[in-house]
Amino acid sequence: MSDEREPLDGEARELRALYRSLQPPTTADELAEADPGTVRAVEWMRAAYRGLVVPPCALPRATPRPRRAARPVPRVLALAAAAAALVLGAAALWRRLARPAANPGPERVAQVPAPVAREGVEILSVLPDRLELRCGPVRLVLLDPPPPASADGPPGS
Amino acid sequence: MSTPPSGAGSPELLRAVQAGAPEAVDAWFRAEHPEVYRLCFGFLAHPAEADDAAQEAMLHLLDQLGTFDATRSYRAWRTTLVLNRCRDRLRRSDARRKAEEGAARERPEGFLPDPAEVMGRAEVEGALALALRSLSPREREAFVLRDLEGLETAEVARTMSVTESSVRSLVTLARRRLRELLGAHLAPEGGEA
Repeated sequence: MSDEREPLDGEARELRALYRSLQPPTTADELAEADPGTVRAVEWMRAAYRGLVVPPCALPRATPRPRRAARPVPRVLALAAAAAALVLGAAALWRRLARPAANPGPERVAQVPAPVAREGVEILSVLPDRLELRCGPVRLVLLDPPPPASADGPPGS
Repeated sequence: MSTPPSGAGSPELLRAVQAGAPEAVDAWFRAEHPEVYRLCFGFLAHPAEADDAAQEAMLHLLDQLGTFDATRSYRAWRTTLVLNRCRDRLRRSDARRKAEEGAARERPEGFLPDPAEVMGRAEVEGALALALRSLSPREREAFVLRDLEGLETAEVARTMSVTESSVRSLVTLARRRLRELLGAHLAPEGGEA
């Protein structure tokens, strides 16, 4: 390989001279140091920015709303819910225990558990102090004990 | 600016807002929203996006106000939070980027109206958004903070998490691009707009 550099022809020399004369852009902070065209453009932008019409804002609720005290669930409803859960559980258990006798086939390796029939629960009676439910052979009676008798009153009244 | 930033960032008002005083929250919101909207407009270059982003940013600011360190500059804290929200928004929206690339090739037509004229407000807003969209997101951030918000270079650098020389370069590029875009459409000094 030769170390000799190719002689520059006229165009290449001119290009090199132009390249060397290139000045990096000024990165002045202050706008005042920029050319008038730039100043006009930036001032127009600034005026337009400051004159922007701001759309109305939605004000938030300043103070958090106080939480409402949880309403006490009526006693009869709570009892009914508990009873329904008990009856459903009992019904599911009963069905599960009854199933092997009906399907004793050993070849069945997996079974999807049958959904519990909610419509099987029957409400027999709802009274202020008594709730009676039935599901299949299971019957459930829930009693609300009466308030204790006053000590001042005569016994048995 | 229509509302001085010192109003929304005054220590008394901020303390009252942090304490949850309803009238203080109202006052703070009213004073702060125009500033935040303008910042969002500047960073997003889109009126509808800016409106959404400003509402979102206001609630975020209100939520975060408890974490604000009163020994620091409120304006810098607020601007950083708004910038980050806008960056997230831009990052989430790839469609926005594509729209920007298209918009960057658009040019305003004819002479631009004087921003002081009330009649041409919508046109001015459109031209402003167009001009901002012609900048890259970084150039736009630097330009908005330095030239439109009037922050010092060092403050801009801190807010954007870049060096001061980067800010200078970005601002210079942005100014040059804007001059190229708007120069022909701005009435020469002494001429009619």
